[in-house]
Amino acid sequence: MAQFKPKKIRTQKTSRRLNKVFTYAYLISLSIIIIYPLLITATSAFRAGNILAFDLKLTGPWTLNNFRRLFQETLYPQWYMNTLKVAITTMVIQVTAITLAGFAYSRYRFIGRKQSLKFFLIVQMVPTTAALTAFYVMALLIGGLDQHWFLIFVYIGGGIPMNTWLMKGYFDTVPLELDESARLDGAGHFRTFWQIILPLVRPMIAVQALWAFMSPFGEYLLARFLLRSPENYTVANGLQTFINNQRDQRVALFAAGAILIAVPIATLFFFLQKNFVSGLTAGGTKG
Amino acid sequence: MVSDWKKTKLGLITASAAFLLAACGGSGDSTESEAAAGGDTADTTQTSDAAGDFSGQTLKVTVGDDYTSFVESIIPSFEEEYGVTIELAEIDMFDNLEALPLDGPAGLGPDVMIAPYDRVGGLGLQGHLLEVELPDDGRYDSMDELQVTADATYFGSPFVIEALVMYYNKDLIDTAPTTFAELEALTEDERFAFASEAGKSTAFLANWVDFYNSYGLLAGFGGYVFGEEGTNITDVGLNTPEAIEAIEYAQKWFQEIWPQGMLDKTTSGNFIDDQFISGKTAAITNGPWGAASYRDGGVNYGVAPVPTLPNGEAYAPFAGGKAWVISSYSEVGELAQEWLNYVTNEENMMALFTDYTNEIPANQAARKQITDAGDNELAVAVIEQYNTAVPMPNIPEMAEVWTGAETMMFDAGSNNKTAEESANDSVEIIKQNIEQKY
Amino acid sequence: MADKESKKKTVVYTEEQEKNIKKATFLSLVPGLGQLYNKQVFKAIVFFAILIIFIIEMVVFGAGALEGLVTLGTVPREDHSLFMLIEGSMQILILLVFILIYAINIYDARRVAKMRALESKSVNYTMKSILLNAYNNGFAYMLTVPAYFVMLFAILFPVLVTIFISFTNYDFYHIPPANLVDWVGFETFASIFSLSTYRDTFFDVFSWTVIWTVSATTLQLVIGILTAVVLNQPFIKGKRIFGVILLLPWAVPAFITIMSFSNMFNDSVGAINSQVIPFINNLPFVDIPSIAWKTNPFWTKIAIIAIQGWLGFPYIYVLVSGILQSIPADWYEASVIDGATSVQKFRYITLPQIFAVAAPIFVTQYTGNFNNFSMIYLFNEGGPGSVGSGAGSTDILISWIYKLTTGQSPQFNIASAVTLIISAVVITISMLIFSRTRAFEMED
Repeated sequence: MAQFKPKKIRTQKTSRRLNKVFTYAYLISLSIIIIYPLLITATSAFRAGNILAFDLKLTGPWTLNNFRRLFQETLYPQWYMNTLKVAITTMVIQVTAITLAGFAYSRYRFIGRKQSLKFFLIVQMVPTTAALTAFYVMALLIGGLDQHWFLIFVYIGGGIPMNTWLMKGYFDTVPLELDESARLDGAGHFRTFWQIILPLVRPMIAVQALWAFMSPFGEYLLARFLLRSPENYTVANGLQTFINNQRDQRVALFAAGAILIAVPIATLFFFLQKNFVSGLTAGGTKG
Repeated sequence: MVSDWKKTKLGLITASAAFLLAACGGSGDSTESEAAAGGDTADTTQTSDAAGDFSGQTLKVTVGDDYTSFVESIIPSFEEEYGVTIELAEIDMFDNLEALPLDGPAGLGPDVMIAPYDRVGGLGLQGHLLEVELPDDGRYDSMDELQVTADATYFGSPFVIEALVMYYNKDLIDTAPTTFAELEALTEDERFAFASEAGKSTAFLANWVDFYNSYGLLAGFGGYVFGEEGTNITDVGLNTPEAIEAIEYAQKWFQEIWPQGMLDKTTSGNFIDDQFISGKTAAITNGPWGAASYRDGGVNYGVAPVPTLPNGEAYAPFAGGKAWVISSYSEVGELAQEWLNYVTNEENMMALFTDYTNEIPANQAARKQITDAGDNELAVAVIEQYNTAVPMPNIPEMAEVWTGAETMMFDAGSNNKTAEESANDSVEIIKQNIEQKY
Repeated sequence: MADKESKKKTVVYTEEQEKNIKKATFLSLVPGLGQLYNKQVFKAIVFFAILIIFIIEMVVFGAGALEGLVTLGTVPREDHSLFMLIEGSMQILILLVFILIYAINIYDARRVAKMRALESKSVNYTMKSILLNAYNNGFAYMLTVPAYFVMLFAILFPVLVTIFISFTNYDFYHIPPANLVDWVGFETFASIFSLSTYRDTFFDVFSWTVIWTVSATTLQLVIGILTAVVLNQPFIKGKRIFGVILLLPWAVPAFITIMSFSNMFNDSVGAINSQVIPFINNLPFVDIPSIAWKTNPFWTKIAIIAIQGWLGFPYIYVLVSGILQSIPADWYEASVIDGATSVQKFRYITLPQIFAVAAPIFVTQYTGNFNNFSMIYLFNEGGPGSVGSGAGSTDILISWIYKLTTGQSPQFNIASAVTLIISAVVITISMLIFSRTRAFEMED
């Protein structure tokens, strides 16, 4: 990015230096505040005994026993595959659905446009914890009990309203002239969307993909209701079974499993970051 | 403007939904659950002495992962004897019980499963469990029977028993303390002084903000939950003069001896384990389930009954344990009853104890064998402690007591209120909640 | 792309044409007939097929489900009241969908008849041309209708069931299928308000819930926005590493971090008292004593709010980062030429732009924390101590309800009713904020 070069005035120089100092101080201290508690959690996974750590001890003894047990004595690897399956499917379908819907909301005028989305946004504020059985019976009726596809269906439905709204907001920042000139060049609805507009909203799609991918890793209430057999569990409700039993909590295994959840998500974010960086102005160029 | 495309789409969806619904053959009627249970109904037989009655039936057994290998080992001979098939599923005990009210009617639940004693009565009274016949061969005494009784009906076969015991660190003290006076003397020992809080000691720790743990203290002094053997809900005995005396004694520990963290109910259990494993504590109270993590943590521990209280009475904790129960949605109830009798017989229970989970069998003959052998310190201590233990009230109103009693201990222990005030306030709230909810 | 409908001039039809239009409308009371009359065979087949499917559905499932919803069963053990209630709710939604299609069918027959009266040539009679027309004029519907169908069943359906349950006596005394559940009208709501002893507790809990919601959410918004803006500066080295670190609180499932924090804040051996405070005390002139994080309500509240800030800011930070990317650089360049300071740039360019896109999300963050059950319950189970009626000193409404209605004696009807009361409050406040900030207003 070309930096605008202001006149060299001393005060500006000092303020810029101050800004640098503040920026790094802020980022580094925030990083410490984030990493410290997570390190404490992580160390629990490498300790013998069965307790969550209270503080950070960096002296031994260390053990990989908890991870070994996680993979040998529990269904954790299977849960992990299930979760990946659910997360990836949810991500693909949900991102597709909200991108299309967001585009429609931004570019078209149609019946019910103003009220319908708002209605669902408001209805979604009602916590459904009291009626989770509703999903159970629905799944029972249409053969979706203990099936990942039904869970995916509910996840996607819950994710649509807010994210469609955000997507619409993002589409709105793309100038309308682009569509119009594409139309003049004879592009149809779909080509305009696919070739002209879509590349410009890539950063938002990256953010959305990340959110959609992450949620199945942390959601355990619905999953617990809908998945009935242990071999179908997702990691979240699988790990819950380690700590549900008040008398026999396997917290060390729980911590080990949680660490392994954080890794792919952090990795994904690392790779999606370049999408955040390619801003709107650079959006037209590929890569 | 509305497109035809949309109409087609909706049509397809409605069509497929209708098709699926039709395939289900409606719901709520019995055909569905019969099909799901996959066995022929066994409601025509009157008695079931002959093993041939059951041939061809399928029994669905669900246990938590801690019992899988045990059940797998005893399945073959049962299958052979009755000519049946057993399907074993591994689901966490609590998850499984929570799911029963839904899975049962949907025809997905198991026929037999395991439930902790304190859940048996409630599930039975809500109609999710079948009545069970207990064999008359002396395998249970009246206390065992009481554990699975609600409304004068047996809802399960006692399987294993548990009670709080004392663990002590053999590297720090030579012999197990036998009285609370000895424990108090230990707190003077410099080795157990708590580093970050002056004048505090971790010589002996007990999770007394948790009612399951503190009940033994209250009951030992003469307090109780509900009068008339846990059936009279209008008589809550947590604020009797004896109970208040017990609370005052606990208050002394919280205020003068223990670190502040012992009042923190979400982490105090964790704190106790941490201190014990790191060798800063001489003795603690915990159930038999705690042993494995102390062993993994490398503690050279011994086990003994909890010391006698200052008034000379024995510590009287809740008698806990688990029972085998039969789902009331089962189509093979009689076979399930046979399974219960088989699992809990002496031979299988000894196998569970020696080869699998080391839990103490409820079966009296097996229990006697273990006590006579006397080589398993933990088991002997639990069995001994169980004899002074009190069965948990088996009624739904018990739910109100757990939280109320926790608040009582916290308020007294943190000196927010006097022992008497906190006891009276808590009993007031417990009674009020029972009145308004039940 | 304004709708063609709006540009319509008023047209005067001949008597003959009027009759045809009326006839088409009337015929379409049976879906498909009107279209047949309009000579659109393909459309007619589609509508008629939908009607047939609906009739089959009603016979096989629907009629029984609606009847079950009314009676909630008559024979214990055979009828499962809860299943009946839920199936009935599903059927109501299916009915809604059909009524919508039915209305569309009448509207369509009438519209096409009008078009034929005016310019018969422009009407599409073949299947191919009908589909092509749908693509050209109904593109927006193609994009949104599937989403709405999913939302109907994933969002509206459970809420409908919640509403129904609150009007029944579904509690631990009436657990189906051993017992029947019955409609009891407003009895559940009445009993909530008649529990006089609960009133003081309710006030305590409610006021803390509001304080909690406002302070925790505001904290996470401030940290999130600040972090995004700071990290968006071009000169920073190691951006990607920082980016990943800042996401970590969100990458680890919340239920485990909360449990960890619960231990870290332990008064006696927790990291905060045993490591962090001594470390800070190394600074000159600072001497903080140990703090009773878990046994003193005031400090517990401080801890919970801080932890929620820690847990909640990454979401905001990622969102705002995405928005910041979309602000054209030349806006800033222009403002620099005008002599704007960085504070002014933030105040007049960055912030309005963030709010323009994310204001609704911010509102939902508040509503989310209003119902943030896990944070409160997992950290200290609503403790320490209590404020009476079973509520702990840090319980918020939703966790108090949980305590009142779970355990071995659940009261699903009370839980549903209170859910609705709480939701009514949250929705009303949100709607007020929405209309104030015009957050969900759409341009025409």
